[in-house]
Amino acid sequence: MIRWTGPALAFALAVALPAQGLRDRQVFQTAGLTCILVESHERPLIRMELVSRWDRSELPAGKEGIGGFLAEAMEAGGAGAYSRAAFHRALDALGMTYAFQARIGAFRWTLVADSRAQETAMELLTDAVVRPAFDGPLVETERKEVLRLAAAQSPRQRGISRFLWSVGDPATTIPAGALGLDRIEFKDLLDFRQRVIRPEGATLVLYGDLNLAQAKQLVLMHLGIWGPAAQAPVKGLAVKAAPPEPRLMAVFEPGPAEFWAAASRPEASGPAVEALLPILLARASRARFGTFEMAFELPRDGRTPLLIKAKVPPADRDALVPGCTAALAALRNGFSQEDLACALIQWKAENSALVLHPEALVRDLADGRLDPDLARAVDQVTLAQVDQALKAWLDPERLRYLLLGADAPMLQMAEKAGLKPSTVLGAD
Amino acid sequence: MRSPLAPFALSALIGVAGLAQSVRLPQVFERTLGNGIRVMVVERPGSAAVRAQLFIRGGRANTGGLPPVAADLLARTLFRRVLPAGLEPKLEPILEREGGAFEALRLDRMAQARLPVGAQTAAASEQALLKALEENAMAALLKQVGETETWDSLDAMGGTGRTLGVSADYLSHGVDLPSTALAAWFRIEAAQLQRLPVGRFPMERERLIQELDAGEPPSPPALSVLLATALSGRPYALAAEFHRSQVESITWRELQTYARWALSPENLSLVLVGDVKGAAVMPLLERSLGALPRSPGSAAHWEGAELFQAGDPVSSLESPGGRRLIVSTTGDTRVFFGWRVPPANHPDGSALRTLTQILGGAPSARLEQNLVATRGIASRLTIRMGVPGRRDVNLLVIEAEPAQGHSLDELEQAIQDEVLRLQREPLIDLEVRQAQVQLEAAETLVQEDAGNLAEALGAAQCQGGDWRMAFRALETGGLKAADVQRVARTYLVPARATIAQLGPDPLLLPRDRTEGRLLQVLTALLQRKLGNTAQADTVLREALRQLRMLSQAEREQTLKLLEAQVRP
Repeated sequence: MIRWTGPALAFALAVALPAQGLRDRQVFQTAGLTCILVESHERPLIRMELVSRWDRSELPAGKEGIGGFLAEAMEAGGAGAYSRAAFHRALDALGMTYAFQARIGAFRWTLVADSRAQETAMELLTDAVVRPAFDGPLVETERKEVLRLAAAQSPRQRGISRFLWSVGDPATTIPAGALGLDRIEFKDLLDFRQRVIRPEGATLVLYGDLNLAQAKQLVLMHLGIWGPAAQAPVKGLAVKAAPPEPRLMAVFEPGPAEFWAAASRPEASGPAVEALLPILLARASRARFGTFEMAFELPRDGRTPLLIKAKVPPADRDALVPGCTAALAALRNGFSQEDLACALIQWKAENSALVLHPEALVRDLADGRLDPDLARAVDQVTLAQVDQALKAWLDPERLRYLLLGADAPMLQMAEKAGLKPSTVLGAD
Repeated sequence: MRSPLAPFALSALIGVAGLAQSVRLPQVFERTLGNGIRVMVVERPGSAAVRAQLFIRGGRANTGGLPPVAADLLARTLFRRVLPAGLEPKLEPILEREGGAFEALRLDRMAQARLPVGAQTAAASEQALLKALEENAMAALLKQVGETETWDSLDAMGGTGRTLGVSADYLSHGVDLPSTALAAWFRIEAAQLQRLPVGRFPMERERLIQELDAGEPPSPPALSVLLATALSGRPYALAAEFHRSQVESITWRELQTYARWALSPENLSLVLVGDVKGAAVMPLLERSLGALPRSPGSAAHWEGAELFQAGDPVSSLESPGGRRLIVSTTGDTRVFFGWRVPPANHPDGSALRTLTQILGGAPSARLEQNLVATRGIASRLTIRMGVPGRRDVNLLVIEAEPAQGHSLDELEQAIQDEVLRLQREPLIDLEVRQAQVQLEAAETLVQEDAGNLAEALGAAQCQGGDWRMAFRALETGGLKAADVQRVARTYLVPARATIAQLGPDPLLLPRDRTEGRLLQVLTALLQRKLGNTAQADTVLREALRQLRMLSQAEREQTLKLLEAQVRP
């Protein structure tokens, strides 16, 4: 039994959010762009992270892969006056670290540089965000490569891709089989880029060796020209795009069996409860349910669906589906007051320790997860609220399932557990 | 008016001034406790949190008589969760029962495997009994330790961001703590190291077996082929070998014995980064971790070479001669180059790092630009130093996957050309300076995150005997093109190289329809001329490999010509 005394209790009572990074932040607006500065002068470094947010419903019907395709084209192309090669040479010449990450709903650029090169760093970041240089032939090469990779997918890869797309996983940016990619025209790409990469939906976080006056001047000089989006966000384009999601998708393929379940975010679940749920579910991940292991993945980003993955030793594969569904039913019974207390300590500790990890701190700031109001709300969360949210997340009617490495006996067991597969891949 | 040349102008300016002038080495407070534990503290006042990371010198290359995977089992067993004190007496009988049943099952499976088909069922009931015994023991174990699998005392004190590291040179585990919980963590850690509880061993053994069965070993299988060949006879030769049978052969008693000598204080280094004062924390450390008894003779277990010292007759400069391998796989297609290079603290270390950076350390580096971006021969390319460790003679490794339509031979040749170009053509100081700027930037960036800094300090201490090894670019700088070219000519030579081509056997897995048809036609042709099947297979395999170097159109043309010869 873990005792909630001594340092644990002292910590639970004494730690007051926000962490240093949140306490010292300075916020300003430039041309519709929200900017957050956290000064840290210990090292001659500056970290810049710009996130441009948009919405899945802005994906045009029949061309849903445009978000991922745009990301591919931006990565392959140049920026401003630079070709792609020249852009990287410019970064490398000053030892800068650059990354671009695409998710459905958010594009993210990160650049870390020596603070003496902050002007050049901001100029290069601005080029990448505001002035991507698309090259027609290169875009076509990228399209061919994406289509080739999609065609070369194994049934397992195709099944996973199709499942994750259907449950709205933001990291899956192109639908399985790259459906509709051949219909996307060059102009579609340009229009879509102008619509979704816009200052009004973006946040820039600057962390490191610069002060407020320098930060304001930098942003104004470079991103001040970033005008509002040419077109207002258009929502609801994709209403006809989403096919009815299969309740259970099975992939026939020799190899280890895995059973996945996913749930999109329930409407009732609020941010305070969602701050604690990943910690409580991680606890469930560490528990063994019979002979199989279940991992619960619920990132803190507030957008990614809950993903549950279960594996069994080969000898127990027939028990995989009934065992998992039973374990999920048991989990729906809820957590204990002690679980909630420990989750609260862990949540506070994680936030407090963020100051040791600037990359994570900057990410949380850019994604708006370090809200002082949230800290107060998390303190007020009750066990009943957590259990209610858990039931909503694990509602059997909302869960979607994927069975990998399936065979006929496993499907029979799934049917007995009330899961009749509506889609079977690789059966031939 | 913006100029695309601005970064290069600034680079030239910084190149002259030197970024290193503005960057600093971390201020590390160093002490050694009375029992030999090395302590390094980097103070970051005001953060209210501390990153604490413990390093155990040793690792996969130093497991006594046990296989390398014992290091993984030890780290997972001891450091994934914290078992409450006083549980060992209850767990030992259970571990005995479980171990006995597991071993009997293993021996039974081995005996069954030797029986003729059909005879195995005779012993099925005995096997079921053993299985039941093992499952009962495992259930009893889970009942005892189950609670700590979900929440343990480290969770309760606000420990987050736990990490577990296993390498050829060291084991490590780290945690972020509220600074108010640091003293309590010292006590818990000291108690763990005193007791060395291996009660969780069967659970971690099962998890590891499942990972191996799922094709997810702790390091890629392809690497084991390279290491075994390139470093045969050296401590790292087997450091990437992971087999189920090795995991199954280790008992909890063996793990306990291994833990006793591996975790002796002389092998431990502790790194603290955060809101902690070095001088103030020492008395606390002396009373907790410092009270651990020294282990007599623990140094005798050290299998690796002593750290490189100038004038030592270390055999790091010797090489058994170049080797080339062709390995058949079930899917992986890639080429490995592994050159034998000396340990991390060798005087050539800095020049070798710069050389690596010039070749492939950044998106604009030579190999990336010439082979991936411009010529499109490789779809992916990485270059790494210190494979699998840095304490002994190790490898500088280039790993590359051919792009669609390009063969492994073509890719291998292109990499060879780039290496030769670096050795023979004049290298300018500006290119060397830019590589150094990148290394200095990386060494500055590593100081930003407390976890990365702790890892860098501890790894350097374990691998080179001095944390400053992690910041050699910031410390030294000033390398010239001639220095880099000299190490390229010394180390990147055929005599020190092992080249491995990994690819599906064309006879078993033809790459496409054309290759499948070519195989049929060539088989028909060779059967007429060669009666010996093994000889025909050898010729076929080589012919198909050669044909892969042609373009698709050329291959189809060849197929037509060959088909014409086969037709009666």
